[in-house]
Amino acid sequence: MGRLRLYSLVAVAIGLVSGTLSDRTPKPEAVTRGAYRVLEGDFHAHTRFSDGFLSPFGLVLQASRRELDVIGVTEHNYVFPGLLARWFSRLIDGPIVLPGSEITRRGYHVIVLGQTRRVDPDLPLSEQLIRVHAQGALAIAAHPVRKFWPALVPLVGEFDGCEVMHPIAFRGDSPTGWRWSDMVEFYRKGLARNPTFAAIGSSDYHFFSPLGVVRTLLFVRSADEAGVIEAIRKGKTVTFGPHGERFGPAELLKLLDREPYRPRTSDYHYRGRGVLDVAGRTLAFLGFLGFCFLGGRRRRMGA
Amino acid sequence: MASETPVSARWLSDEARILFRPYRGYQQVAGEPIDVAPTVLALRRPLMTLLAIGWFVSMTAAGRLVAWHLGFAAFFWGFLPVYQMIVLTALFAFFPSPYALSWSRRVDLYFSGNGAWYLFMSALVAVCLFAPNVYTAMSALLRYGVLPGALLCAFIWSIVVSHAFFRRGCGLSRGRAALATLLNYLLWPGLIVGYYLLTNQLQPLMR
Repeated sequence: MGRLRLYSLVAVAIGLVSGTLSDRTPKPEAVTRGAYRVLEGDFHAHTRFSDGFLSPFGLVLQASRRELDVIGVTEHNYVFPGLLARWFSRLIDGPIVLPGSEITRRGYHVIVLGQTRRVDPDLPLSEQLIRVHAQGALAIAAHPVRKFWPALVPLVGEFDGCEVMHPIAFRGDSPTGWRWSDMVEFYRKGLARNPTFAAIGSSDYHFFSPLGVVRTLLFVRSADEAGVIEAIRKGKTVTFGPHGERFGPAELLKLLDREPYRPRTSDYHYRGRGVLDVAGRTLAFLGFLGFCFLGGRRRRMGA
Repeated sequence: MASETPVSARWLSDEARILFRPYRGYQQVAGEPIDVAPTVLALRRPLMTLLAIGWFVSMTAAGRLVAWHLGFAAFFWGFLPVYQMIVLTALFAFFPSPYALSWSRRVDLYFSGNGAWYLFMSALVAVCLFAPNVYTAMSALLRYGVLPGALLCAFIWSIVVSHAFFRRGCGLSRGRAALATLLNYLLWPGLIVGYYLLTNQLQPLMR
């Protein structure tokens, strides 16, 4: 290995040590409102087993970094990565992980939470919802924009909730026709049929940093998997729109009026913490470039 | 196969030489003597690919290089270089090289052609680390077609580099090199599509 390449590798190694030591996020303190413990969750996340970048283990670490108390791992028609993530999170005393899937069909998407057995995506939606509930899991209508309404609206009362807040809310009018206002309207339809229809906010995370950029507040009796499922089933959730709109039951909104709660923020902008962290990141970046593209090897004449 | 050692070899890695001038780069690099054990030769650049993937995942997810992110990403993405090596082995069997190059050396040469992807990943990481507002920057790059365009360029250039590998690195004729390149880009992405079909992630989308 040439000298330049060696120096670059050393730079990467320093960046690795610095990055690993700097990557500390303290466990969030327990927060209560009224008789409830308040948790922050993101219920729609993918791993590299479908179209995400992170592994199931990396996703759990990312959730800790984003100060999330609970996540849903929801691969397309595939449960195994969620079970893997839950196993790992229990091992490291990480966030609560609800294994699940995103039933993905051309006409609709459904987030399933607390699932252990795959539901055949080729069944009719009504049958899928029966099978989801039969295993004690939850069915959340995923980003219910108008193009999915023909399948979703007739069965809106069978869902436990819907995504009323999603990153498409930040994008304005989409050329593909995905509008946040449709999701809000679907939520109101669900609420009219079912007073415990849960308001869910999710990031639909695939890659980069924004896991938890949209999140749900859960008002739970117990901070565990059963407590989270019970809270969603009873509609004890609140999520926030891009301009501070609140979606959730009046009882919980009154609790928040009395004692406001601001969801935790995290380092979405990749800023370093302190000089050493910034230096470590820069070294890791430049070192990688150098390692890939710099040589420095003396070569003999070839034959 | 004779080649003169260029001055650039002292400053640029094989990846850089092949990236900027694929045909000449492969001709020079393939002709240079190597004093490395076959096992190391077969593994060093696939491992470098895994390091690059782990680095990219860690830097874009956490904004820093974190040991567990690097390790988990490298492990869970390990199938990618393994797939490529399987496909290469099949192609080497169908298209034997007239040069006296071992299997390890050919694998090492092939993976030296990943420079375009390393550059693309580095550009994305640079945006994450140095843009004042990453969301705004990425949205703009998407909206104005810069990001899709860069991805397309990396993909097209990697096809050119693959062809240069078979043509100048392995010494195949023009037609056989083209066929080997085509098969390469049908087979290993095809294995990935096969995975999505096997796990029934694609079929329901079509119904």
